[in-house]
This record gives sequence, C-alpha cells and structure tokens, in this order.
Amino acid sequence: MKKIFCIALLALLSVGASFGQTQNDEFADYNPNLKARHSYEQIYSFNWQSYLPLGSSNDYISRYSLEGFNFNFTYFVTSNIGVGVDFGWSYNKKFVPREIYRPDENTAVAAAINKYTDIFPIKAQFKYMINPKDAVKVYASAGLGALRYGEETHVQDLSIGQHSWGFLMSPEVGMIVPFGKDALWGLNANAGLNWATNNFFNLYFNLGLYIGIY
Amino acid sequence: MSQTLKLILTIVGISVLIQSCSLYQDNTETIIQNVSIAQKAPDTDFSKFKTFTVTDSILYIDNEDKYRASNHFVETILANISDNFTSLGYTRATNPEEADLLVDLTYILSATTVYYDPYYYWGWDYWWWWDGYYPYPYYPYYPYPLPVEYISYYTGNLIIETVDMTHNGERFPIVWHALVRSLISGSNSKEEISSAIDECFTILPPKN
Repeated sequence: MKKIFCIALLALLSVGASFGQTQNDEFADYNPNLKARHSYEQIYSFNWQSYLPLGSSNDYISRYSLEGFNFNFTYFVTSNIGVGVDFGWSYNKKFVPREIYRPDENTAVAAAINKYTDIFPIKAQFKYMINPKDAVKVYASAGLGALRYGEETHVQDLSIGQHSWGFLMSPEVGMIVPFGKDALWGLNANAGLNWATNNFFNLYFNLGLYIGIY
Repeated sequence: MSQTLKLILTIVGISVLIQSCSLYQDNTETIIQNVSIAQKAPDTDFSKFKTFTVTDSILYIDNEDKYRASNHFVETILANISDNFTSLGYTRATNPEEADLLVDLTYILSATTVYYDPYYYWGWDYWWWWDGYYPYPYYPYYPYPLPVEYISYYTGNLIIETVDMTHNGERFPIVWHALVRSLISGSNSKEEISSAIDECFTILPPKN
C-alpha cells in the first residue's frame, strides 16, 4: 500500500513538474505581460521530512529521524492567506545492544532489541504568507488534525507494539524560493512542531520542491 | 538559477522521496542473537536445596511428537548446566532419587501451540505445557498463574526446568525456569550455546 502511494506521489510530482515547466516556458515566450504576476493561487509541495522526537517520544527513541516525506497543498484565498492540507509519514529506528531487562523481581531477560516508531500526521492548515511578492516568500501556518503514532519493539523475529491516534496541533514557519522570477516551481523549506494528544511530540523539518499555480 | 542546479535539486528530491518509501524493518541484528530468559517461582526458599541431579537426555518436541534423546552435543549441554549448578554451591547427588532438585531440558524442534500470558511484560515465549503439567515421570507443576489466549509458532527453543523434589505431594513445583530462544538453529557455535546457557544462570540464578 505504501509503495502504491509513493509511486502515485512520484507520478504526480513528475507530471506536475513537467506541466509547470511547460507553462513557464510558454508564458515567458508568448505572454511577457504575465511576468508581473506576484503571488500563487495554489501551491503543491513534496518534501523530505526529518524530525527530532521530544517529550515521551524521545524517551523511547531519541535518535534524529532522517526517514520521512511530506506533502502539502495550499490554496490562497488572498495573496497572503491560504488554507490547505498537509500529511506525511516518518519512521525512526534504534538498535539497543544486548541488555538485561527485569520485568519483575522473578523474571530476567537478556536480549538485543530493535525499536521502531512511525508517525502519520494529517492536518488542515491555515497559512499566512508574509511577503508574497518577494523572491523569498516567508510564511507561518497553524495546523489542526490527527496523528497516528506507532511504537514497536522487535526481538529476533518477534514483535510487540501499539499504535494510536491523537488530536494534532501543529504550528509551522517556512519559506518558498522560486527558481527565478515568476517561476512555477522552486524550493520549499519549513520547520514546525507536532503536538498530539497520544503523547507524541516532535520538532520536524521539511525540505523539498513545490509547484505553484498563479 | 541554472538548469543544471534545478535538475540536481529535482533528482535529489526524488531520490530522497524514493528512499523514504523503500525503507523496511531490518531485524538482522536481533535475529542472529539468542534471547535468554530466566524465571523463579515466587517465594521459593532456595537455601533448603543442597543437592541436584540432571537428566541424561533431552526431551524433543516436534509438533505432536515427543521423544527423549541423547548424543555428544546433548551431553555437552548437560555438563554445562551441571557445572553452573555446582558453581552456585549445589552438590550433584550421588543417588538421583535423593536429589533436592531435578534439572530437565526440553528442546522445541517445532511447535504450533503456544500459550500466552497477557500480563507478561514481554508477551512472547511465555509458553506452557499443553495442560499446564510437567510431562516427565515426576509430573511437577508450575506455581505461577497459567497463561492463556495466544497461539503462535516457535522453534529452536531450549528450556531448562528445575523441579523441587523435596515437595510433599503428587506433583512437584518448578522453581526455576530458563529459556534460550533460537539457540540450536544450526548457526550457533558450541561457545555461543554455552554462553547463552551460562547467561541464564547469570541474569537470574536459581538461588536466593
């Protein structure tokens, strides 16, 4: 299922990028007046996501996760104000060398274990673009949604774990940098916090590409 | 921004996305390692035990088939266990019938029925005998709450049971239970096997 989802994302990204580039070239060649465009009506961004676990999530695995992706769509109702959706998936892992565990006074276990976590945040976003006419466009956003958090401990081929959903609140700041004046695509970078009621808390960073529509 | 830079950024972006999609959970580091588990019966006074004896064979369980066997490898394991008990201060009984503790071993070749204790921290390997009773001639029993609920598939487990033979009654309680998971899978050396058995005696020895 994940593979299908990822392939679909990649296909969308490829088609979107090709379409954006074609449109950009056509506008530049035949309609120079449109170079006065300043702000996007829609933005689609695809990002690599990394995060630092915080709070009790950090107790389970403190490693900085580098494995994840994020998708964001924003529709701007004015040049400054946008609404959209945002979701992603991230994964973390830690190998714990052989240790002795004492579940109770009459039991002892010696084992090496692998710990895994994965998160799936999905949220609606309210976005405010501070300077939509500048070359580097800075924005701040607030998100509300849900987050699925899973923890798994693996020993040999056995695993035990749990997953839960929580209510999610997520403030974020970021910027987009078009690849040239009036470009339909460019870089997207942002940082934010995920705070979920199922005891998950992290600081995340997204870095990727966006496609904009005027 | 140059076309080349755009191309590089695009390729990097897509590569990262593909990488994040293709991750899988690789448990190689833990699969190749044994897991040692030891349990003591609650409230057991081990100071009353002075002597022990060890069976001369291992009980093999292959699904519904159960049989006892001995060979050079088994003898090595039994000698290792005997050494561990001796180092804890117990004396090997000259007459096995008079030993305070009986040590018996079971190896699971293949089993499909496993009982699971939902209150057990680890959740795995807390299996029990089919009917909760010890199958060898002395018919001892486990003094813990019997687990329930779960059926799974386990192979390659070596179980070391230590039975209180001083108990008055028809059944004899198991006072120390150790398990080495995936021990004799064919990939373990004799040193690794000895080390895993020794570890059971180290992490929770059968004494006060």
